[in-house]
Amino acid sequence: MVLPSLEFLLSSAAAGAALALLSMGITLTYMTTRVSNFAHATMAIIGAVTTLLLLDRFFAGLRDSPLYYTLFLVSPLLAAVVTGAVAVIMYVTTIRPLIKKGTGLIGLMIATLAFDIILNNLLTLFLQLTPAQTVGRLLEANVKGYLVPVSIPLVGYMYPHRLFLPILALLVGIGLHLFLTRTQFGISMRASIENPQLARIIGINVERVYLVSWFLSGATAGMAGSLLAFEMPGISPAAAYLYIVSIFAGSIVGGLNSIYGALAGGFLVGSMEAIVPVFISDVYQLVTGEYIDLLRYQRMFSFLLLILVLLVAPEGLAGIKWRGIRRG
Amino acid sequence: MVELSALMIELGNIITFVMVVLALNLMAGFAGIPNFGMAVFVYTGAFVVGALSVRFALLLLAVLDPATLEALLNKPSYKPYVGDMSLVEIILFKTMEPTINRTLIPELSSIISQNLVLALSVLIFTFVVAVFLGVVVGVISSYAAVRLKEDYLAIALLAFSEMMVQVFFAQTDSLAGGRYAIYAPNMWPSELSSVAAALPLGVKPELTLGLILAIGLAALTYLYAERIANSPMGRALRAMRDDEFVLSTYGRDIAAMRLRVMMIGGALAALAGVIYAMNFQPVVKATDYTRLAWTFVPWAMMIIGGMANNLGVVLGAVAIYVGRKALEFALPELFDALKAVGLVTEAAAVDVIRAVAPNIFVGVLILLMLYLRPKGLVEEMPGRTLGDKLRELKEKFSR
Repeated sequence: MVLPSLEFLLSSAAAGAALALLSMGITLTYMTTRVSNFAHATMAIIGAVTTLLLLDRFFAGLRDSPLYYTLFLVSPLLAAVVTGAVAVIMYVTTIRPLIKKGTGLIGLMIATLAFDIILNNLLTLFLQLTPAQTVGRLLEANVKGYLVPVSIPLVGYMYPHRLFLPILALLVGIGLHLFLTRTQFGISMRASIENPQLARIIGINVERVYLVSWFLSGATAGMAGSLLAFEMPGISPAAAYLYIVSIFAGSIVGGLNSIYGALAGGFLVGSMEAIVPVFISDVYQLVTGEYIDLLRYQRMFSFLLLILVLLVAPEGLAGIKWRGIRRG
Repeated sequence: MVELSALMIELGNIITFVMVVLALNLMAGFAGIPNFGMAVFVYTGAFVVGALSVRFALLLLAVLDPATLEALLNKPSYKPYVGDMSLVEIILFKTMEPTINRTLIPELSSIISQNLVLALSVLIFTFVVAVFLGVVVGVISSYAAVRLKEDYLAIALLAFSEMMVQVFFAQTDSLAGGRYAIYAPNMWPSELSSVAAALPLGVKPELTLGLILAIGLAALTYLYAERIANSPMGRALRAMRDDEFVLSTYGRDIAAMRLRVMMIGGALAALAGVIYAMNFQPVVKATDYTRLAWTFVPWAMMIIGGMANNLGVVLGAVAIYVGRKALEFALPELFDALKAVGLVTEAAAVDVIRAVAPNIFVGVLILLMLYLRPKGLVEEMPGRTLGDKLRELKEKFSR
């Protein structure tokens, strides 16, 4: 099938939407505090674990009732609160003191790596200590098995989370846009990004702006993770170590300095990861008649894109002069 | 009581880390290149041991002793995997098949140990190719290191390392085993092992030889790193780290310096990988060369020891390794003690805590160090220049 089905495209779009949310979060803290947060993917895993716990404790009995679909609203919201809090704790306990001490960019990166190691291992500990019959069982299982595909006209059967992911990403994107352009606080956030000293002079509490940016970043990571849970072949904290590179890929393709760029870049990288390997192996099969499995090299495509963009156009999508191109 | 051989392996692991950290310190500490992709350099060495030296030994055997090779590879139990492939095809494509690898390597090892020419060729091949590939990886990385700065560079190197080790090698089984374990062959000729066997240690003679080689190489690495640190190149590297622009106005070629330091560091790290896979961790698996084990832990050792100070990073490596191991061993004891008092009732968690505690320990230690003592335990010293040495000599003679 060189011509992809609508269902395949939609599920690729779902993967793209999840990565768009994650890349946006990492860009947000980079723009405000200049920190490349390596703990971001672990926060997404925390979001996924939230979904697991909800599924297991409260939604297991509701499988056949329409109430079941409230999971896709409850779980992102709960995950957002949890991971937002984790991000705030991270900022207050490690990042802010180090910034105040004048630690350099690499030092801050190491600090986020160290925090990631701590967080990831604590998460492992938490998961293993929870009684084996509840979460442990879910860890092994494909969480998608807990869902029933719904029938969509024209498309066919789809897993419901794949419909909710793009909607969620769109809502968050629009919400953030409105927040940044229409509210007093959002405007002062943009001012603090543009020029922190000037923002301080006109009386903006830059410190609070940073705190909120970390909360928002963590919250969006949790939201994305809570729905991404269904895409993971068994949820493990170690998965974060590979996810983080895809997230950075999205964010860097977007330019690392633009929230809209990150949304676009994340979407591009995430959907590409799903589409390109399948497309190449389909074409290969058509030409040679042999089947090759490229899906396991899925992440390689985004890594290559990341390195390519860094070396060729380090400013990313946001750096391209779109207007200039249009004018010719 | 802990066995001597286990102790020697731990010592070997420490020495491996010392070599890796010295290489990292050259790149990150002196030259200021934030190499977050250290794992790929170390894996390169292990890859040579596990995948390339086996193939080289078999190909060489085809020339030296075709009958033995025929007997080695033409087994009925291999038939389902190899079909009617030629011997060369089997060597190139099928030796990493887990079932074949498991039986082939012990037999090949004993053949190598009986054949002095073969053993020495394989040893030389392994070290030469590892240094070469380490330099190649260094050159590839320097492509990014020349063009990017600080955090962008760190992310690019991290992505490169993860892409190669965790995606490419871990997913390509026929190349180096992928997710399956492949075994490192013995490379010591029996002439040498019998000498080592004469020592009254009661351990495998190959281990003794490996440890001696490791200590020798680590000492050489240290001396080399010290030499670079105190040479004009070392001073230029520090100047580049502190202010690239000023150095370039003095006519130094920044790109060439970065390329050079990545090549040297890459070769040293690959050598460490060879030492490790050859002697102390003979089961080679790409999935073992994680970012945590071979990038993050070396960084922790370097930061805690003190960046741009060779003695400091060596101390850091020893301290962190011993600290992690001590935690791993002390925790079950602690749990038993707590259980005896009645504070802990369930022992099921011990294994998990044992696995996560050393990592949390390193994470917390890094954060504390960054906050309390960002320059590390042993601070950077100004390099000894020729003038310093002359002055010392003068003082010595005037006295």
